[in-house]
Amino acid sequence: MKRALVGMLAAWLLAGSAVAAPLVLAMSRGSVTLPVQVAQDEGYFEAEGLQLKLLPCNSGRECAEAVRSGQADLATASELIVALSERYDLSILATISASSHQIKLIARRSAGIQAVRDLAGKRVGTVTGSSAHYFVDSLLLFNGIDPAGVKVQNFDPTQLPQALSVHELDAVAIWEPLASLTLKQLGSDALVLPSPRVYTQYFNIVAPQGLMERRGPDMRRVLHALLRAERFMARHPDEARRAMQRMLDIDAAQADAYYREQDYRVRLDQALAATISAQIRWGMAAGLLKGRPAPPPGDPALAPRLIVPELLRTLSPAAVTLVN
Amino acid sequence: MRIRLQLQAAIVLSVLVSLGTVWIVAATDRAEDGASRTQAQAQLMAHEVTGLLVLTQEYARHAEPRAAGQWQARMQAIQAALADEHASFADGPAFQELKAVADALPPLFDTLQLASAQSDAFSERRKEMVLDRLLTNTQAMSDYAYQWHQDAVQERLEASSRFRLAALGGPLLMLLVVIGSALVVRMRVLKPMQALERATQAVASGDLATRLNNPAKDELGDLARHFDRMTASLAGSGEQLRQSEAQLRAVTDNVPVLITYVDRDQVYRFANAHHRVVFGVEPERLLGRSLQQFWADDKAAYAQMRPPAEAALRGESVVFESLRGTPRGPRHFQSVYLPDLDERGQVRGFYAMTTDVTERKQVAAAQAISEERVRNILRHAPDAFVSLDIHGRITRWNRQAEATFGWREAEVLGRTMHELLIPERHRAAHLAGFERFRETGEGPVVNQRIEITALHRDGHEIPVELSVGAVREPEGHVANAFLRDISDRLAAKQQLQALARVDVLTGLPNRLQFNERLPEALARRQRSRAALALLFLDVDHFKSINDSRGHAAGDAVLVQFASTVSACVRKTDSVARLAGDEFVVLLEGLHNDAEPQAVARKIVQAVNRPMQFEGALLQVSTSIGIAYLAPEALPVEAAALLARADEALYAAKRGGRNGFRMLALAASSAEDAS
Repeated sequence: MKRALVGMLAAWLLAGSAVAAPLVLAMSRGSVTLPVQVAQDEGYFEAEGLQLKLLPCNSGRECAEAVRSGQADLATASELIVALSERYDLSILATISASSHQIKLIARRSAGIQAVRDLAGKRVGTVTGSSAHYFVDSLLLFNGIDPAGVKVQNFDPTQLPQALSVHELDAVAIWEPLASLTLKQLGSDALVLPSPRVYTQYFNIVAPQGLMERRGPDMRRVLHALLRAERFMARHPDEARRAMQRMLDIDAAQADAYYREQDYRVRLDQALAATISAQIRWGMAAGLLKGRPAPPPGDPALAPRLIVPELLRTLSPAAVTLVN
Repeated sequence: MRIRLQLQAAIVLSVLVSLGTVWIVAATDRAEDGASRTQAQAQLMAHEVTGLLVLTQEYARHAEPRAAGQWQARMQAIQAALADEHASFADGPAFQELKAVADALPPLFDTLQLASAQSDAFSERRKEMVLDRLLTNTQAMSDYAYQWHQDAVQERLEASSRFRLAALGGPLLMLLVVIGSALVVRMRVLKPMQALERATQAVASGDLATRLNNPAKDELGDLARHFDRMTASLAGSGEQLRQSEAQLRAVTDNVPVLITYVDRDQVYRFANAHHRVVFGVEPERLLGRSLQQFWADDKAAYAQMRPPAEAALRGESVVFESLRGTPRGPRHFQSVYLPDLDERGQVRGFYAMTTDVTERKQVAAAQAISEERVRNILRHAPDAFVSLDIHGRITRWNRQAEATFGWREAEVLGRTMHELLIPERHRAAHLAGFERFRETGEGPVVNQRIEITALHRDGHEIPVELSVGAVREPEGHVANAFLRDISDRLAAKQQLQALARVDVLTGLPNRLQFNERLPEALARRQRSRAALALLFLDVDHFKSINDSRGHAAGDAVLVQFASTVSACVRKTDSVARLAGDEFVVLLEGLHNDAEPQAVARKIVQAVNRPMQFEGALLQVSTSIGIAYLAPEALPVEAAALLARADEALYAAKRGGRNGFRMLALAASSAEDAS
């Protein structure tokens, strides 16, 4: 309560100090956050009169933590981070990319793995409580394997490629660009296990709940800049791919492969709410939400305002299929 | 850029714009149509997906095979619709995702069917998860179908907007091209043309300073530069013309001649300032008035000038004289009317140049009188007067010439002087001299009085004194000659000359004649190599005869003495009286010294004979000195010979008179002889 008061006071001071108060966006670098990079590269944030500062972080979870700790005002994160957030303190303002392929399950052939069914009893490394964890659980279930019979181990995401290559693990479930790095390190021993679209990840602009009320106009400017970036990418896909090359320091073929895995549209889909609801159920079943209050009645995604569609709807009504 | 090129470019642009507009309109129409169909298909798809969602939930609740069959049938319909060619009109990310999800759903549904058949806890959990995914993915399909629909709507709107843009923009662009062309035509063609028209009018009204100064690098710019060069050239010519006119005016105003120009209507168009001087009329008063109008007050003058004016206007050149009244009284004028012809030979008017010839006429009259006077003087001159033209032909021949040379005036006029008056032998020299005279006006006869021999009509020669005056004429010099017959004067002169060389008393050659003859004789001796002797004689005691008996007696003695001595010598020998009683005898053609001594002796003896004078007898003697010049003797001067003879005479005197002494000269030794 005391902390909230301090935060409110700080926010009030910031809001009153100047229109052009800097806005910090915690962003993990990856193909999922390309629209933010493009908007930054093309100067759309500046054009909106925003002093946007990008704060780099390794995962959506880290970025969300930066917001919670007050280091950042906004974050880029998957819908799962919001679904599993304690106290329902984060809200999704807009999806900036969606992909059913960017999280990959990579196994070592040397561990005797040919298909998903071979994972039973194997050590699978991932970031527990992350979208990658949700993905691997879903894939195991879809293939009729009880996740309880698989040794899912929590790792720092950056350590996963190394852990697999030194046989500390038999398989890893991880997002790009770490997935590519893992494939590269493992070489011919690596096997990407096929996924029949068991999970579509939505990557989003996430704000702490209440920020809308404090800095609504700035949020609006951020979304407007991102909508411009979306249009730019649709019209100039080659430019967008080059921006990705620069951002991730990769070659053109890799950038092209990443680009094809992503659906870069700024929107809020009904499916996002469905996914969050499923994830909440999954989180509770998996015991990841111990100590969290039960979701309020109604749609578990919408009732606690985990998705805030009003802003995007005013800027681009057609981008929102979410039904309140 | 050239105007022609710009207009061609405008035409090409218009055609391109028209074709482009038509093409764009057609393409956008097609796109709009396609987008409409896609939109309809997307709506249908949304409907189908909604049905699919219901069926999925129904199957999850009841696991009825009917619901599974309907689900699969509907899914097949969806996939067929997605494979339709019209579906792909808005094939953006939404459509691609829609297809991907549609492909992913059947395996999920199969897994759901599998899990539904079992009832263990794991299968329940699995069924729940798969159902979640099915619902989420179907929801996603619905989202994608909606996005697809939105894309199609957007596509249609854009196509529609493009169509509007093309439909409106094409004609607008055409309008702009037309306006642009019109502006180009106005700026590049019409404005320069207007400027050219204004400049042309300015030039036409005489303003040759007009320049266009169009720097454009196009056809009209070239035209403007040509025009500027032309006007500059015209201005230069006009300036030259003005200067020429001013010079002409200055010249015509300063010549003492009345100059006018009269046009074919007999109207004065030009008059110089001399009219003010002659008639007291400002020349401007003549201009624009006809001859008849201007001379209305002087009908006589008009009557005089009208016929020649009409003749000049017929193309004839006319010269005539007239008498007109002026403030200074009546004056004589000479007028020249010259017709002014155009390039086709038509008469445009005439130039009239009128000169006051009153003074000239007066001078001519005075000259006529003067000439008549001269002619009269020459006619009655005491000398013959002959004028020759440059060919030597006689043009004047007076009465005295008729008397002197025997030719009548009518016979000689037109004939040459040399054929009539110059003796045959002198004609060549005369002709050469006359030729030189004709060219130079000089010669030995010019302004000199010289004597020549002329020929009389009857063939005899006449000495004449000639005096020639030269008169220069354009082709050469002509001669005026006075000739005087000097036959009488020459005769008198010869007589006088003879008288001067003779001793009047004795009739012998005097000292003058002897002084001429002695050098001649010495010269002859030199050629003939004969001996020569000079005898110097005087009358002994002549003074006493003179004193005692008077000069008359003395003169008688001298006359007798001369006669005696002359009788003693050959006719070829010379006797002369030098002075008083001194005489000399010159003997030529001698062979030796005896011959002069013989002559001397003969003279002494002859003189010794008494002579009668007034009844009394007078006895006179003579002493003779002989200077002998032998054939071999060296040449000697006359004075030396005379001095030698005088020396010999002195010796004879000393020897007692009445005798002679001889002295030889040069090579011979002197010897006496008596």
